[in-house]
Amino acid sequence: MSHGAPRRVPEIRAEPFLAPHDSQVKMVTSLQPGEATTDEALVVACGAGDRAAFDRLVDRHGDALFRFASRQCGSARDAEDALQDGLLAAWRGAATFRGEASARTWLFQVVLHACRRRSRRRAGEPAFHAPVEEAEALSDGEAGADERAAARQTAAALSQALAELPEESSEVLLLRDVEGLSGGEAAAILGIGLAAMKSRLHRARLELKERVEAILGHALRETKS
Amino acid sequence: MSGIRDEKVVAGISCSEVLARLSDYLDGDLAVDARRQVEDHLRGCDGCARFGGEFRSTVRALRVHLGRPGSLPASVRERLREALDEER
Repeated sequence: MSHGAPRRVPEIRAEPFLAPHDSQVKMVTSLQPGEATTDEALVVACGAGDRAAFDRLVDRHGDALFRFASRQCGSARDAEDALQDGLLAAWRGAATFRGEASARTWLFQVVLHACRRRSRRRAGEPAFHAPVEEAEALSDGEAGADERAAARQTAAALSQALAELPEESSEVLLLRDVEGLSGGEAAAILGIGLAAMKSRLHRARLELKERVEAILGHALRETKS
Repeated sequence: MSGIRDEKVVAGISCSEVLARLSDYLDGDLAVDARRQVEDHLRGCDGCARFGGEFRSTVRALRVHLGRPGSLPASVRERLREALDEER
Protein backbone atom coordinates (compact mmCIF):
# COMPACT_ATOMS: atom_id res chain seq x y z
CA MET A 1 0.00 0.00 0.00
CA SER A 2 1.38 3.36 -0.94
CA HIS A 3 0.89 6.37 1.22
CA GLY A 4 2.62 8.98 -0.88
CA ALA A 5 4.79 11.46 0.97
CA PRO A 6 5.84 10.45 4.46
CA ARG A 7 3.64 11.89 7.17
CA ARG A 8 4.81 13.60 10.30
CA VAL A 9 4.80 11.06 13.05
CA PRO A 10 3.42 12.08 16.43
CA GLU A 11 5.81 11.87 19.30
CA ILE A 12 5.37 8.77 21.42
CA ARG A 13 7.78 8.22 24.23
CA ALA A 14 8.91 4.73 25.01
CA GLU A 15 8.73 3.96 28.72
CA PRO A 16 12.21 4.01 30.17
CA PHE A 17 13.47 0.84 31.69
CA LEU A 18 14.53 0.98 35.29
CA ALA A 19 17.55 -1.07 35.91
CA PRO A 20 18.04 -3.13 39.01
CA HIS A 21 20.46 -5.30 37.08
CA ASP A 22 22.46 -2.97 34.88
CA SER A 23 25.19 -5.51 34.55
CA GLN A 24 22.84 -7.89 32.74
CA VAL A 25 22.95 -5.77 29.64
CA LYS A 26 26.21 -5.82 27.83
CA MET A 27 26.99 -2.34 26.67
CA VAL A 28 27.32 -2.55 22.93
CA THR A 29 27.64 0.61 20.95
CA SER A 30 28.32 -0.80 17.51
CA LEU A 31 27.87 -4.19 15.96
CA GLN A 32 29.61 -5.97 13.16
CA PRO A 33 27.41 -7.01 10.24
CA GLY A 34 26.09 -10.53 10.72
CA GLU A 35 27.32 -10.70 14.28
CA ALA A 36 25.09 -12.95 16.38
CA THR A 37 23.80 -10.94 19.27
CA THR A 38 20.89 -10.65 21.63
CA ASP A 39 17.89 -8.41 21.14
CA GLU A 40 18.87 -6.55 24.25
CA ALA A 41 22.33 -5.77 22.91
CA LEU A 42 20.75 -4.57 19.69
CA VAL A 43 18.52 -2.16 21.60
CA VAL A 44 21.51 -0.81 23.47
CA ALA A 45 23.30 -0.34 20.14
CA CYS A 46 20.22 1.49 18.84
CA GLY A 47 20.51 3.80 21.82
CA ALA A 48 24.00 4.67 20.61
CA GLY A 49 22.60 5.53 17.16
CA ASP A 50 23.33 2.27 15.34
CA ARG A 51 20.78 2.13 12.49
CA ALA A 52 21.96 -1.32 11.37
CA ALA A 53 21.14 -2.67 14.81
CA PHE A 54 17.68 -1.16 14.52
CA ASP A 55 17.17 -2.80 11.12
CA ARG A 56 18.09 -6.14 12.65
CA LEU A 57 15.58 -5.66 15.45
CA VAL A 58 12.90 -4.85 12.91
CA ASP A 59 13.94 -7.91 10.89
CA ARG A 60 13.48 -10.08 13.95
CA HIS A 61 10.25 -8.68 15.33
CA GLY A 62 8.65 -6.56 12.63
CA ASP A 63 6.39 -9.31 11.30
CA ALA A 64 4.97 -10.23 14.71
CA LEU A 65 4.56 -6.58 15.69
CA PHE A 66 2.79 -5.84 12.42
CA ARG A 67 0.50 -8.84 12.84
CA PHE A 68 -0.35 -7.66 16.35
CA ALA A 69 -0.96 -4.07 15.23
CA SER A 70 -3.09 -5.22 12.30
CA ARG A 71 -5.43 -7.07 14.63
CA GLN A 72 -5.47 -4.43 17.32
CA CYS A 73 -5.97 -1.27 15.30
CA GLY A 74 -9.13 0.02 13.74
CA SER A 75 -7.90 -0.20 10.14
CA ALA A 76 -5.02 -1.47 8.06
CA ARG A 77 -3.86 2.10 7.58
CA ASP A 78 -3.94 2.72 11.34
CA ALA A 79 -1.98 -0.48 11.91
CA GLU A 80 0.80 0.74 9.64
CA ASP A 81 0.78 4.17 11.26
CA ALA A 82 0.74 2.73 14.77
CA LEU A 83 3.63 0.44 13.97
CA GLN A 84 5.63 3.31 12.59
CA ASP A 85 4.80 5.45 15.64
CA GLY A 86 5.80 2.62 17.94
CA LEU A 87 9.03 1.73 16.20
CA LEU A 88 10.10 5.36 16.05
CA ALA A 89 9.33 5.66 19.75
CA ALA A 90 11.48 2.60 20.36
CA TRP A 91 14.33 4.14 18.39
CA ARG A 92 14.07 7.41 20.30
CA GLY A 93 13.77 5.66 23.64
CA ALA A 94 16.41 2.99 23.08
CA ALA A 95 19.01 4.93 25.04
CA THR A 96 16.89 4.45 28.17
CA PHE A 97 16.85 0.68 27.79
CA ARG A 98 18.45 -1.10 30.73
CA GLY A 99 17.13 -4.61 30.27
CA GLU A 100 14.68 -5.03 33.10
CA ALA A 101 12.38 -6.89 30.71
CA SER A 102 13.19 -8.42 27.36
CA ALA A 103 13.58 -6.27 24.28
CA ARG A 104 10.66 -8.09 22.66
CA THR A 105 8.43 -7.24 25.62
CA TRP A 106 9.50 -3.62 25.38
CA LEU A 107 8.82 -3.45 21.64
CA PHE A 108 5.34 -4.94 22.07
CA GLN A 109 4.67 -2.44 24.87
CA VAL A 110 5.60 0.50 22.71
CA VAL A 111 3.53 -0.73 19.76
CA LEU A 112 0.59 -1.52 22.05
CA HIS A 113 0.60 2.05 23.34
CA ALA A 114 0.73 3.36 19.80
CA CYS A 115 -2.23 1.14 18.84
CA ARG A 116 -4.21 2.38 21.84
CA ARG A 117 -3.60 5.98 20.83
CA ARG A 118 -4.79 5.28 17.30
CA SER A 119 -7.82 3.34 18.55
CA ARG A 120 -8.86 6.17 20.85
CA ARG A 121 -8.89 8.54 17.94
CA ARG A 122 -11.16 6.13 16.10
CA ALA A 123 -13.53 5.59 19.03
CA GLY A 124 -17.12 5.47 17.84
CA GLU A 125 -16.29 4.31 14.35
CA PRO A 126 -17.50 0.86 13.26
CA ALA A 127 -15.33 -2.03 14.37
CA PHE A 128 -12.90 -3.22 11.75
CA HIS A 129 -11.91 -6.79 11.30
CA ALA A 130 -9.08 -7.85 9.14
CA PRO A 131 -9.75 -9.54 5.84
CA VAL A 132 -9.53 -13.25 5.91
CA GLU A 133 -6.92 -13.94 3.32
CA GLU A 134 -4.83 -15.50 6.06
CA ALA A 135 -7.40 -18.23 6.09
CA GLU A 136 -6.50 -19.17 2.60
CA ALA A 137 -4.69 -20.76 5.36
CA LEU A 138 -4.57 -24.35 6.13
CA SER A 139 -2.55 -23.90 3.04
CA ASP A 140 -1.46 -27.44 2.91
CA GLY A 141 -2.55 -28.22 -0.59
CA GLU A 142 -4.30 -31.38 0.54
CA ALA A 143 -7.14 -29.50 2.16
CA GLY A 144 -10.32 -29.91 0.17
CA ALA A 145 -12.60 -27.13 -0.98
CA ASP A 146 -15.02 -27.72 1.90
CA GLU A 147 -12.20 -27.63 4.42
CA ARG A 148 -10.82 -24.40 2.99
CA ALA A 149 -14.25 -22.80 3.01
CA ALA A 150 -14.74 -23.85 6.64
CA ALA A 151 -11.32 -22.44 7.53
CA ARG A 152 -12.18 -19.12 5.91
CA GLN A 153 -15.47 -19.00 7.77
CA THR A 154 -13.81 -19.78 11.10
CA ALA A 155 -11.07 -17.19 10.56
CA ALA A 156 -13.65 -14.58 9.61
CA ALA A 157 -15.71 -15.35 12.71
CA LEU A 158 -12.65 -15.15 14.96
CA SER A 159 -11.59 -11.85 13.40
CA GLN A 160 -15.05 -10.37 13.79
CA ALA A 161 -15.40 -11.58 17.36
CA LEU A 162 -11.98 -10.18 18.30
CA ALA A 163 -12.85 -6.82 16.77
CA GLU A 164 -16.06 -6.68 18.76
CA LEU A 165 -14.44 -7.48 22.10
CA PRO A 166 -13.37 -4.76 24.53
CA GLU A 167 -9.83 -3.58 23.87
CA GLU A 168 -8.39 -5.14 27.02
CA SER A 169 -9.83 -8.52 26.04
CA SER A 170 -8.56 -8.49 22.47
CA GLU A 171 -5.13 -7.32 23.61
CA VAL A 172 -4.57 -10.20 25.97
CA LEU A 173 -5.92 -12.76 23.47
CA LEU A 174 -3.64 -11.47 20.73
CA LEU A 175 -0.57 -11.55 22.94
CA ARG A 176 -1.17 -14.95 24.55
CA ASP A 177 -3.22 -16.98 22.11
CA VAL A 178 -2.32 -15.53 18.73
CA GLU A 179 1.32 -14.50 19.22
CA GLY A 180 1.97 -17.19 21.80
CA LEU A 181 3.85 -14.97 24.25
CA SER A 182 4.36 -16.31 27.76
CA GLY A 183 2.11 -15.26 30.62
CA GLY A 184 4.92 -13.22 32.13
CA GLU A 185 5.61 -11.42 28.87
CA ALA A 186 1.94 -10.65 28.28
CA ALA A 187 1.55 -9.34 31.83
CA ALA A 188 4.62 -7.12 31.48
CA ILE A 189 3.45 -5.74 28.12
CA LEU A 190 0.01 -4.96 29.52
CA GLY A 191 1.51 -3.46 32.66
CA ILE A 192 -0.43 -5.70 35.03
CA GLY A 193 0.44 -8.53 37.41
CA LEU A 194 0.48 -12.15 36.31
CA ALA A 195 -2.65 -13.05 38.32
CA ALA A 196 -4.58 -10.13 36.82
CA MET A 197 -3.43 -11.11 33.33
CA LYS A 198 -4.62 -14.70 33.86
CA SER A 199 -7.98 -13.51 35.11
CA ARG A 200 -8.36 -11.14 32.17
CA LEU A 201 -7.33 -13.86 29.73
CA HIS A 202 -9.85 -16.33 31.08
CA ARG A 203 -12.69 -13.83 30.85
CA ALA A 204 -11.60 -12.88 27.34
CA ARG A 205 -11.53 -16.51 26.19
CA LEU A 206 -15.05 -17.08 27.51
CA GLU A 207 -16.27 -13.91 25.81
CA LEU A 208 -14.62 -14.93 22.56
CA LYS A 209 -16.15 -18.40 22.66
CA GLU A 210 -19.60 -16.96 23.18
CA ARG A 211 -19.25 -14.44 20.37
CA VAL A 212 -17.83 -16.91 17.90
CA GLU A 213 -20.72 -19.25 18.57
CA ALA A 214 -23.20 -16.44 18.07
CA ILE A 215 -21.57 -15.57 14.75
CA LEU A 216 -21.23 -19.12 13.44
CA GLY A 217 -24.36 -20.53 15.01
CA HIS A 218 -22.36 -23.40 16.52
CA ALA A 219 -19.36 -24.06 18.74
CA LEU A 220 -15.94 -24.72 17.30
CA ARG A 221 -14.77 -28.28 17.29
CA GLU A 222 -11.20 -29.49 17.21
CA THR A 223 -9.12 -27.97 14.42
CA LYS A 224 -5.92 -29.39 13.14
CA SER A 225 -2.88 -27.61 14.42
CA MET B 1 -22.32 -18.86 34.46
CA SER B 2 -21.91 -19.23 30.73
CA GLY B 3 -22.09 -22.77 29.40
CA ILE B 4 -22.95 -24.59 32.63
CA ARG B 5 -26.60 -25.56 32.71
CA ASP B 6 -26.81 -28.24 35.38
CA GLU B 7 -24.46 -27.37 38.19
CA LYS B 8 -23.23 -30.45 40.01
CA VAL B 9 -20.33 -31.69 42.05
CA VAL B 10 -18.19 -34.45 40.56
CA ALA B 11 -14.89 -35.63 42.01
CA GLY B 12 -15.28 -33.17 44.83
CA ILE B 13 -15.40 -30.09 42.60
CA SER B 14 -18.33 -28.19 41.16
CA CYS B 15 -18.95 -27.33 37.52
CA SER B 16 -18.47 -23.62 38.28
CA GLU B 17 -15.11 -24.30 39.89
CA VAL B 18 -14.03 -26.32 36.87
CA LEU B 19 -15.15 -23.55 34.54
CA ALA B 20 -13.13 -21.03 36.55
CA ARG B 21 -10.02 -23.20 36.20
CA LEU B 22 -10.29 -24.05 32.52
CA SER B 23 -7.68 -21.55 31.37
CA ASP B 24 -5.21 -22.57 34.04
CA TYR B 25 -5.86 -26.20 33.11
CA LEU B 26 -5.37 -25.51 29.43
CA ASP B 27 -2.19 -23.50 30.05
CA GLY B 28 -0.69 -26.13 32.34
CA ASP B 29 -0.76 -23.79 35.32
CA LEU B 30 -2.55 -26.08 37.77
CA ALA B 31 -0.74 -28.02 40.46
CA VAL B 32 -0.79 -31.79 40.01
CA ASP B 33 -3.59 -32.40 42.50
CA ALA B 34 -5.79 -29.65 41.12
CA ARG B 35 -5.19 -30.85 37.59
CA ARG B 36 -6.15 -34.40 38.51
CA GLN B 37 -9.31 -33.16 40.21
CA VAL B 38 -10.36 -31.21 37.11
CA GLU B 39 -9.67 -34.22 34.89
CA ASP B 40 -11.71 -36.51 37.16
CA HIS B 41 -14.57 -34.03 37.00
CA LEU B 42 -14.38 -33.82 33.21
CA ARG B 43 -14.47 -37.61 32.95
CA GLY B 44 -17.62 -37.72 35.04
CA CYS B 45 -19.47 -34.68 33.70
CA ASP B 46 -20.58 -34.67 30.06
CA GLY B 47 -21.59 -31.00 30.14
CA CYS B 48 -18.21 -29.79 31.34
CA ALA B 49 -16.36 -32.18 29.03
CA ARG B 50 -18.23 -30.78 26.04
CA PHE B 51 -17.83 -27.17 27.15
CA GLY B 52 -14.14 -27.70 27.92
CA GLY B 53 -13.54 -29.21 24.49
CA GLU B 54 -15.22 -26.29 22.75
CA PHE B 55 -13.28 -23.85 24.91
CA ARG B 56 -9.98 -25.49 24.00
CA SER B 57 -10.94 -25.57 20.32
CA THR B 58 -11.71 -21.86 20.32
CA VAL B 59 -8.40 -20.98 21.96
CA ARG B 60 -6.44 -23.21 19.59
CA ALA B 61 -8.29 -21.83 16.59
CA LEU B 62 -6.93 -18.37 17.34
CA ARG B 63 -3.38 -19.58 16.85
CA VAL B 64 -4.21 -21.82 13.90
CA HIS B 65 -6.26 -19.30 11.94
CA LEU B 66 -4.92 -15.90 12.98
CA GLY B 67 -1.35 -16.60 14.04
CA ARG B 68 -0.08 -17.33 10.58
CA PRO B 69 3.17 -15.78 9.47
CA GLY B 70 2.70 -12.33 7.98
CA SER B 71 5.19 -9.92 6.57
CA LEU B 72 5.88 -6.37 7.51
CA PRO B 73 4.93 -4.44 4.35
CA ALA B 74 7.84 -2.93 2.46
CA SER B 75 5.98 0.39 2.52
CA VAL B 76 6.17 0.47 6.32
CA ARG B 77 9.90 -0.19 6.25
CA GLU B 78 10.37 2.52 3.67
CA ARG B 79 8.40 5.10 5.64
CA LEU B 80 10.31 4.16 8.76
CA ARG B 81 13.61 4.60 6.97
CA GLU B 82 12.55 8.03 5.72
CA ALA B 83 11.37 9.07 9.18
CA LEU B 84 14.67 7.99 10.72
CA ASP B 85 16.58 9.91 8.07
CA GLU B 86 14.61 13.00 9.02
CA GLU B 87 15.61 12.58 12.64
CA ARG B 88 19.27 12.94 11.88
